Amino acid sequence: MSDPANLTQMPESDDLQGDLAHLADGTLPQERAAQLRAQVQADPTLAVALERQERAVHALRTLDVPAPAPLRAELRAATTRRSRGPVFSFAPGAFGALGRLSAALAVGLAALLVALLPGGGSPSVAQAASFALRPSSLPAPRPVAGDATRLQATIDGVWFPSWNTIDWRAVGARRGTVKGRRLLAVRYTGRGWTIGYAVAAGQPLHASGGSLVRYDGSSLRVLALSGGTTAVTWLRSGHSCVIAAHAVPSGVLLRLAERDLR
Amino acid sequence: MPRLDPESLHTHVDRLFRAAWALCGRREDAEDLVQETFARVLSRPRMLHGDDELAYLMRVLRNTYLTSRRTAARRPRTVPAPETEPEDPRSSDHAERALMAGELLAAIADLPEDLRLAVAAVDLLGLSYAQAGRVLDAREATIATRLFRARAQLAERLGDPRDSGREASSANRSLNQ
Repeated sequence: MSDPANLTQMPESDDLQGDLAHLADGTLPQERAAQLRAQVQADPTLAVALERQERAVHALRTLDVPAPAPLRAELRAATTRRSRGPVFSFAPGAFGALGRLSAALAVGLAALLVALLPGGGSPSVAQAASFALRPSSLPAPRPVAGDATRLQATIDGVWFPSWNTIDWRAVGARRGTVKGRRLLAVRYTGRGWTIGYAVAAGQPLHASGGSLVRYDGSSLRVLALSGGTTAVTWLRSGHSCVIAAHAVPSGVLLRLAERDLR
Repeated sequence: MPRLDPESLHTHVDRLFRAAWALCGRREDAEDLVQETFARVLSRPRMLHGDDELAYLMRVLRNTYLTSRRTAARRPRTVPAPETEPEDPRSSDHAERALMAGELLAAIADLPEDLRLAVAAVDLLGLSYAQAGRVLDAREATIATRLFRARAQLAERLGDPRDSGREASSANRSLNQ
């Protein structure tokens, strides 16, 4: 690496700096460019400065880091929904069949790409828990009109519960992808605690370790994660549900999860 | 007044992602920033007010970034889950290129914010100096001097490829495979 002291050799004039920036990326008017090139040839300090500008411009403008396929698919689905109906409405049926088909195709293609690329595969339950605890980026979904037990938030047809009747309220939501898998999370607060509840689209996530709790014929797995995070995971309609929280007793999480199994 | 066409937005995703990564310094944050930018843009019909689409998106990206940064400063950090991505099986050549791209993006992320925004707007997103000036509320000449200083610092940070046998310009290709 070059000596940082060389930076002191930069031309001091703002105008000259600006012209060198323009010259390096080809946006300096022709006449001024010819003048400045002659000046650069006669002045080693300017020559070094211009070489650095050109080197940086080349590196920056040939940088080829594409957006991840899942992000691209998510955005394509969002723009499709936008052109067909309300945006970021979680409710099923908010956009037309063609929109759903396009979104499904885009997400399916992304999933295929991710599966084929190195590092593809399913997120772990711990990663889904981490996603559930990330800050909300969407407003809290409201209860479904006429059904106080459900929120207007679904993924792959799996709905999120409304717990207003037990004083747990949805306060935000987040959609995203982890390792190519779409996830939807809703954040709830109640009794001074905050929890994140995530549902993963597609096949169930691989879950192991922790302890199993049986409830009404179903299994709930309780996992102690790092940093005092506890997660409970179970299957609903063939989809992995994960409730996670920091410093909240696992019994509280289990009682919330069990409500969904009733 | 022209309206932003939602269907055309996906054509800008790659450039927005690179600009977002340069601003945030982390791939995960860049993904969030791009998603939130699109969520804002798509929340209702948008008029372009003299911007072209890319300039408009840069304006929203910058505002979203500044808002999220302020919010993050007030928020306790979430502890990441313990499991990590598996080892990357990419070839050493690919890994080398990815490393170079990572170095470049990290170097941009270390720049002062006004320089970082200028580089993101002009060199990564492809706006003209005049467009960048309008989006970033700065004179065109100010954008030019910010670019000069940013590029000089980046060139210093990355070193001369002739010294190391590495092509800085190969700071390329995907980090995302």
